[in-house]
Amino acid sequence: MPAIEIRGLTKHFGKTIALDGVDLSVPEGSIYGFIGPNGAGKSTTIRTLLGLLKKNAGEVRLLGGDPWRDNVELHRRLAYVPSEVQLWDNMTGGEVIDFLGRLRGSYSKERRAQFIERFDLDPTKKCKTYSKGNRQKVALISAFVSDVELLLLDEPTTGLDPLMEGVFQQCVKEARGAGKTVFLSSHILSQVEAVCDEIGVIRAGKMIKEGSMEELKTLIHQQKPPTLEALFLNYYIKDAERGA
Amino acid sequence: MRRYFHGTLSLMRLYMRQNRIFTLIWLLLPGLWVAINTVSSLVLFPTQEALVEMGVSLIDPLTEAMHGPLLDVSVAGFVTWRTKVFLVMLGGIFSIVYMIRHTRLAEEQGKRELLGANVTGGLAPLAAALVNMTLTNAVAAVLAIFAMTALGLGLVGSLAHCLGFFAAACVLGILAGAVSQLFVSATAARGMSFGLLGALFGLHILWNVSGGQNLLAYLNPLEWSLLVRPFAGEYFIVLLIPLVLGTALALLSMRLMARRDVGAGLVPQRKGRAFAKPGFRNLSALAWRTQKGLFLAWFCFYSIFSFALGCASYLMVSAVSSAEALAGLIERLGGIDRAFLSLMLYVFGMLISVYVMMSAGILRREETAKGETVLSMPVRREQLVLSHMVYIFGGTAAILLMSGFCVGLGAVVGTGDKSALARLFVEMARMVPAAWAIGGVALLLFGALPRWMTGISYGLLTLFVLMEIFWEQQQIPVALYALSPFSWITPLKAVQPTAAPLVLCIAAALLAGAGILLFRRRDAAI
Repeated sequence: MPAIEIRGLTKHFGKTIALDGVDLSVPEGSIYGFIGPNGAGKSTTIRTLLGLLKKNAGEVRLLGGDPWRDNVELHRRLAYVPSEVQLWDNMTGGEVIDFLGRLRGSYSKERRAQFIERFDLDPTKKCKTYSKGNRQKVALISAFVSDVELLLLDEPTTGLDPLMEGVFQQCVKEARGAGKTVFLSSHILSQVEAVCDEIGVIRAGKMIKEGSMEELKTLIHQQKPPTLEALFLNYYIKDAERGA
Repeated sequence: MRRYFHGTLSLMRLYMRQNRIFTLIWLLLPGLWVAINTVSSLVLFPTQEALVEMGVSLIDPLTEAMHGPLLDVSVAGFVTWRTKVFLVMLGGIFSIVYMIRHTRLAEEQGKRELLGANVTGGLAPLAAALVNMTLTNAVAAVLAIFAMTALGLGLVGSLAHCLGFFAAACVLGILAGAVSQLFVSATAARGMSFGLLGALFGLHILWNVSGGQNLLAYLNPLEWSLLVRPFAGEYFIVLLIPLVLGTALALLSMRLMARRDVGAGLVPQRKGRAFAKPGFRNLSALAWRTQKGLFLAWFCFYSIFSFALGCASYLMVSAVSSAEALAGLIERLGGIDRAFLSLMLYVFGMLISVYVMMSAGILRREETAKGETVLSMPVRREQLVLSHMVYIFGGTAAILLMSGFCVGLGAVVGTGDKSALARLFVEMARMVPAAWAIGGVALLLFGALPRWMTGISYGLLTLFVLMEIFWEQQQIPVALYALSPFSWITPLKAVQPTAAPLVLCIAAALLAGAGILLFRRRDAAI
């Protein structure tokens, strides 16, 4: 059974159509790369999966449940990292990690210490004084510390330095090793290429490509230069032409 | 100079393009308010005799406590006397909000870093905000002068009146600019500025009650529009005080700003705890962390202020009411000292309903900024609302009851009348349901129109207060006034239905319930 199954998902904000019939399927235990340009509908899809946004049409199944109706039960089994992490100014990073861990109900002191060290975070600083990268680290540590089945990560490494990017990729792979499913929205193609098993491409609220990394690899070799980036630029251009 | 002020003009243009509706209201409301009052006075007092007869009868210690002595018995004198406090408060509040928005709030949101990275001087944001604030107040004053002279009031007196509120509004704005250099958060800066305004207002009333023999009053912006004596032998020299005070405060704020880093306050941030306390594990604990600053500030401020008011109430006993027209009211409220305290408690009740809106605003901010993080946890949406309702409803009740208790205690100390404690406490307790009804309105807006919540809720609060004033002047029917929660508790009505508290509580519960229900159904964290 797929961890996430979306069919014909549509979401409007007033007159704007943010999602226009999105279909995607995330196999259990995989790392799924969700790619698309800014404003394509990546965050809207993830927020719908979290039950924060109410869909207008379509079918959404998350870990076998309905994200809108069963949100409390499902949230026990997943962890989420937003792309713009905003934290409480008067709390320290350590307090936030502890608080979110307790709220989620799955949390261990050993893993906390381990991840704080790996991400090189000073947990005694007030969130107000953290840079964007450090706020991102707090959210990432909180997600990796938890004992959950699914990680929903929305452009989680914006603001992180290359060294931390490496740590992040290692952590994602370990999560897969532990049997977790990872849904990784990103526009850093090298990151996606490095860790993902499955890939979905969204543009202007529609999926324009979905497939496994293995399939894409053969396509990449036909590109000039042979990179994922060249392939996706091609897809975007073709889709834009079709739209026009 | 270039190092500090470069780009000020560009920033001024940028600020002017923002918040147009806010600025429009700020520009037009003073002139409109003066015009409405002038027209209604012209209708009420068609002849000089009518004015002398009726106007004088309206002046009694209660009104004097609010507005000070009437300087000139004429339509012009009456209008300036009735409008000056409101104009100063209005201009002051707009100036404070404007200054904090463009200094500390912009810095908190990181806008100043964005601007600072471009070619702008270090002091340009503050300077641009100061100049714009002064210009806006100046245009508002000019429009008010036009309104007054167009309605036939003399130019020199109108000029004095409008300069009075212009000077006061500017100095209050400059003060907010200085305060916002001290605190790291905009909320703290705003709280401190409004706290100072509240204290000045309290001093204004005490000064009026005690008969005005105090040199310190010359330093209170709320007195300047009286001291400049519009239509009563104008005394423009008084305006040198705001000029000197304003310049000094502006220089001070620039000095403070030049000395500190972007984003920092004057107090450096300390290191915090690496681990959360064991009890910090649920939404109630989180709500306490986010709400406690506002709650404790209001709680302490009103405790102290109420006690001082209670102590000073004996001053009212010695004041003799000469007003025949209000004798009935005063008698009904149980004598002049009781009437004064009843009205003051009522005004406190209205002021404390601003706290209701502010704490509901924290709930909304938590939803927009941290909703994604919190609501992706295994918590129900209504749990988030309930954790904040403790403050929106419980916190408000605590502040009101404590204020009532402290006024009572002060009155016992001041007058020795032991029955005052229970009486004043019960009187303040009656305000609680009205504040709750306003909390209900805030929650309904939170559920139904979240993006517009702040604007509409403060707008409604202003409307409720204006309805009170219009009803007092018998310009709106009772049925319309009944829509304001305050109408159910006002001491100015002869009798209130015994079911009034029940009606307000039911309204509060229904509104809040509807708000929670709508929040459960709408998109969250938007």
